[in-house]
Amino acid sequence: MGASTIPATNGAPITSWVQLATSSPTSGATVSFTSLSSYKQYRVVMSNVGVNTGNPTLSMTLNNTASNYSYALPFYNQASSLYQNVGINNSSSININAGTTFNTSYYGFTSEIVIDFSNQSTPKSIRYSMASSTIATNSYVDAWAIWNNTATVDRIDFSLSSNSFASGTITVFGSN
Amino acid sequence: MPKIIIVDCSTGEEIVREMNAEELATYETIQKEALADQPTSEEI
Repeated sequence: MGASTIPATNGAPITSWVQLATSSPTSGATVSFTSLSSYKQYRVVMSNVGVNTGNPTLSMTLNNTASNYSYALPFYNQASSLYQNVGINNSSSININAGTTFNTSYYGFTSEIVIDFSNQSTPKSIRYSMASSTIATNSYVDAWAIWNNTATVDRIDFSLSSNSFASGTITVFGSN
Repeated sequence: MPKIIIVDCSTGEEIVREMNAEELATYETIQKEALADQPTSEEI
């Protein structure tokens, strides 16, 4: 039996992913990855991303378009020991950290996002997960989303509802 | 004017600048919705 490759979240072999860009934002309300070159799948990895103050929402949009996103978002907040499901239709963006704490008292925000069918004239399928933590409190999200748009994805934006990015890294990979 | 970090994936170049009108319109739309939909502590 020959060597095998480990499948990534969406089934593409990990060895096929190409790293396209990395950003370590310490300012700005939005980080935008532009000039994407028609990969079928994109994978975004956020590591220890933090904000300068407050507890903003982190949203993702594609192609600088604020419409036609839908998502199902189960999340768990350990501080209140409650689990909640949220379903959103026809939103202006995809909420990455809904219901979870994301502020300066936390160690940071870790997330993986996979966007599939990016270069095809079909709606885009998206899966994402995240975790944020203090010593005493943890929050988790594991979610699925659709962008109901047939355009090729050429840009991925991450925006805070208030305040600025302060730390961490965001890396984008592509795969066909 | 909010700042945006632009990362060009074809060159790796990164710049910080003010949002242009199109970016600002998108930002204000999602900001408004995010603030309206932000769960309260009771909902969490």
